[in-house]
Amino acid sequence: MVVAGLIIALLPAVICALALVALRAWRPDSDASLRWGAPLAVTAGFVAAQTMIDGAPRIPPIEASGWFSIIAVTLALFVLVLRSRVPAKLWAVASFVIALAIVFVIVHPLIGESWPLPVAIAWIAGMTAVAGSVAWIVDRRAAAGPGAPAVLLVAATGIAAGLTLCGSARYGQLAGAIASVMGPLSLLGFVRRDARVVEGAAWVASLILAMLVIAGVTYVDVPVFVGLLLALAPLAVLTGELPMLASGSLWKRDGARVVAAIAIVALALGVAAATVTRSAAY
Amino acid sequence: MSRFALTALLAFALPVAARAADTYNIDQSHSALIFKAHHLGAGHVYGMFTEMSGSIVHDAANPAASSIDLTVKTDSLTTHAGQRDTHLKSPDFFNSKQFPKITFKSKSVTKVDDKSMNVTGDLTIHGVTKPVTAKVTHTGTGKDPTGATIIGFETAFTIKRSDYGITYWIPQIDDEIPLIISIEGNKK
Repeated sequence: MVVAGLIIALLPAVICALALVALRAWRPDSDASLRWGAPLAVTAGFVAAQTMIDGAPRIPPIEASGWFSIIAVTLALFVLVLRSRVPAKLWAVASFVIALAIVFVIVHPLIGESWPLPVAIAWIAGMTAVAGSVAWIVDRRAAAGPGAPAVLLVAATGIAAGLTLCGSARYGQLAGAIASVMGPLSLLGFVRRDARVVEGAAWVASLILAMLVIAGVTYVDVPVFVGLLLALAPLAVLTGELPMLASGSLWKRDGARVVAAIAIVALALGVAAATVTRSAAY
Repeated sequence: MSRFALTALLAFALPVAARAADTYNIDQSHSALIFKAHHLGAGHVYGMFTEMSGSIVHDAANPAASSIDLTVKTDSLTTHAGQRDTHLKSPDFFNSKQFPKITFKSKSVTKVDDKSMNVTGDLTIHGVTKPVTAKVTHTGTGKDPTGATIIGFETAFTIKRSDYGITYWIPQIDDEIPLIISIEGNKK
């Protein structure tokens, strides 16, 4: 059981690392292969982890989590096909449209019976605003500095812990898969110091994390405030742009980003631990 | 046959027909869906769903005319361990928010002997519907304190949770889940 858990935890990182090494070996003189390969590596690691955890996917899916891998693949395809072809403003709009589609796919089983239409519209609007904003901001900031994967690694680890703490070890493992793939990408970011090789991957990972938090708030007993903090944790990438850090080195700014992410995640987990009903026995 | 004789025959026959199939409302407080799960190859964890509703049509003379329609609220699951209950209701297992109900609707009933029958129907768990056949025992008929007629049935059968898309932690928690459904109905 421990060995199986370790394999699930490490497999996404191994897949991601192998994909990056293979892409680099295939096109050693060009970063283009890494730019489109990194989002695929994130998706491949996530899909491998979900397949190990849940088994072969059912088509059509019978529950919200059945869409997770399908959404992850779709996100990677969007990056490959559209990101380099559309202007930045249109890509921003696309981020919100895609966020809306993700939210709808995840929550639609509850619309009508559990959520009256006005409630559903309010939830969908709120979740879309958070997910779309986070994806768009992380995407832009990932293009400006290499620290985004490290921030996403911290956020994903926090989301994994939060989902597990609130009642779903399975969702926690899936968020852990994103933390796992962010390991090699963080390393790549810090070794290369060239942000452009990880920006598309950061967009895919931030939307997968938002999807998991949305599913957690909707189907697991994740308190809304905790979910909001966890969903916003990737915005710690903005810390590097504080005026007080403007004159600092890239390393210093990335360090501040990671520390801010840790602080947001710690606050979220503290609130979760204090809020979630615990019992002595399991 | 004269019109009088026909009227007289119907006057006797209709009450007999009405008596033949009785309808009962399921009494939640005297009914339960109990399950057990083999945990890490060691002991068994028992749990139950405490909230259910539905109706039973029982025709002792013609079992084929009998039927059952049962709805169980998944959020009523309890194993007497709060944290485990939260986990079992989560998307890792029953996903009670997306799938708030377990339902069983019978399609056919055949008599086995005076006390039991085979009931075939559709069991829906976790959004997946599968046909099942269970041997159901008529455990008795009695009177409640108000004098109303009550009736009891019980069955035990095993399902594979993976058939219903609940695959998490197999084999740590066994795929095969034995169920006991015990219901009591109040005559309408």
